[in-house]
Amino acid sequence: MARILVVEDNAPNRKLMLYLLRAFGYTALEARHGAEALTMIRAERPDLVVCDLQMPMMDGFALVAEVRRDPVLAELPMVAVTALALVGDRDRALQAGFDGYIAKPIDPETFVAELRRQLLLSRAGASTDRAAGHQ
Amino acid sequence: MNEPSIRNLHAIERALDESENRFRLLVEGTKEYAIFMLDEHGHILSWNAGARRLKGYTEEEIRGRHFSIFYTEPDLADGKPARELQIARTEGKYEEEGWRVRKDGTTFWANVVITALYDADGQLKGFGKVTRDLSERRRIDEALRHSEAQYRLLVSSVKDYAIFMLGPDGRVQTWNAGAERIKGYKASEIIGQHFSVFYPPEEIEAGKPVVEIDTAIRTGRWEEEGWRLRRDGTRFWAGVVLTAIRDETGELRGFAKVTRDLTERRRLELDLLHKNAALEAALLAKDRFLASMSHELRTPLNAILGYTGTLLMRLPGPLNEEQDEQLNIVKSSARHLLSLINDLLDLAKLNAGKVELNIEPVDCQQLLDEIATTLRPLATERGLAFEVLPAERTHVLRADRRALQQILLNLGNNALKFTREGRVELSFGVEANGELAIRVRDTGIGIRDEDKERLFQPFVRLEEFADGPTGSGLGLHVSQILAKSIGGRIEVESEFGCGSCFTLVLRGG
Repeated sequence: MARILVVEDNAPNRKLMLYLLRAFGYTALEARHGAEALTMIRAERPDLVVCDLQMPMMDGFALVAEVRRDPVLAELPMVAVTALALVGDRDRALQAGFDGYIAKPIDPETFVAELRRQLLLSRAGASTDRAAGHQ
Repeated sequence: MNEPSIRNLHAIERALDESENRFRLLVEGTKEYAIFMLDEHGHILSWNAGARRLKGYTEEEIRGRHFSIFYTEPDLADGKPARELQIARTEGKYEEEGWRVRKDGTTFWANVVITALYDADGQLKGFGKVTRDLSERRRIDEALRHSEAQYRLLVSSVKDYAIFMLGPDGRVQTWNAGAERIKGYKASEIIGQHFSVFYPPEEIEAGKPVVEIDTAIRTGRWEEEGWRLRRDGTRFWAGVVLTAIRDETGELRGFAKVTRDLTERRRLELDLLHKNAALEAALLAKDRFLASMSHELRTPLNAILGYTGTLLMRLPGPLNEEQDEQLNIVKSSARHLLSLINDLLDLAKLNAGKVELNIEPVDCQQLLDEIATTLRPLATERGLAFEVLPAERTHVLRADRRALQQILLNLGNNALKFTREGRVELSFGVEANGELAIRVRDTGIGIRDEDKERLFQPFVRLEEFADGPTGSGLGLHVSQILAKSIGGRIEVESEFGCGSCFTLVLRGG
């Protein structure tokens, strides 16, 4: 099963996501802000990062920028899970480099399914890229 | 003397007679000038057509009368006629302009020339007098003088504008009441001074007065707003127009300067600017507040709905019936709270005019199919049919897709909520008046006539639904505002107990 890093400063919400992921059999890692997440990403190399946007120390936008800048990490799939749910927030997140966007409150019945879809998508994308690279 | 010489003399006399005759005819016929002869004492000897016209006397009436008859009482008392003759006698000629009297007693302004006539021996034979009526010219002169005086009075008494003249050298020549009021100098204090005294030091240093004068000379005019000094050294914001004044030959005569005190206007303008900036800042703060309110309210809701969900999904373990029911109430209440938050944010944005419309072509059939796809699961859950009635042909309108979707989802949701059995139908069509009507019809409980008016007000809940379906109480209100923002409206028809039809009417279907 894939390893998923949950980055979220709000403890109840972090625990909720960890609980849901583990309930569906994923290995879930946790970080409380971007800086902590960056260290963990480099050390643990998770398959997917689920990331809040507004956080202390380093927010989600800064984190995704760091990841995309790093040639080793650049392809890491990242999904924003955020209470920034006003018009334009989705576009802003996608433009900043996130692969997906889920608005809070999350729907616990579909949350994990959406992350699974994102994992499949990124794997398909990566294999297509590799195939294109070989041609 | 021999005959030929006598004949010659006759010829000369004849020629002289003829010439004198012609001359007499010329004089007598002249109408514009009174031309007549006086004897050495001033008695009238001859009269011409002009004299008759000007003075009103016939030749018979006037011949032999003394010319003083033409003078006014004061002139007579002053001995003027005799004096004029005396001057003419000694100097050869007397000329003046003055009042003269007609036969009918009226006066006219006359130009008079009296010429002393001497014979070959130097003996005074009398006087020639030529008189011209200058009344008309005098009237025009008077009118001019009058209008000039009025103009001067007008300018000098204007209080709101400083209006004054500068000489070609830039020195103040005239001063009016406005100039005194605005600048604080009295005429006696400022006339003769260079106009640069009105400028603050930095403007003088920057060469402003010179630039103004040069520009006015070159282009005829200089206009600006800027700081000027009053006599007491205080500054005022002035609107200034400097105009070069030239005579008919093009020679520079000086400058007319009109200055207005715009200090108050400038203060109001600056005030307004500050207020606008403050307002913009307040709007921005409101936007930020709305964004963070949305964020802060969603964060705890995420945990509430999330953990309610995990419990209902029985992830931690089984639930008994009671627990399941109560958790479902928590869930629907939390969802209600969420819809309130969403609608309130929509409303705040709509009221602030913050909704940006993105006008694009929207296919009606496709739009309704999308709405049906979204709402059909809910309808099925409630045992209702949810249909889109087929149209003869589809219709593409230009509108904001998001606004249309939100309105129709609201109306569709409402229809489902208030229908216990039967169906909800969506349809569209272009009306006879060219408007596009999108209808959401249900077989629900309907609305009483007296309630229809209140329906679109915020937080209105009709009595019969007190225990019924819940909503934010803002859905129809937001929908109506949204409809207006895209140039449309929502109309309602309903028969209580039988069903309702909400119609989104859009212009230029």
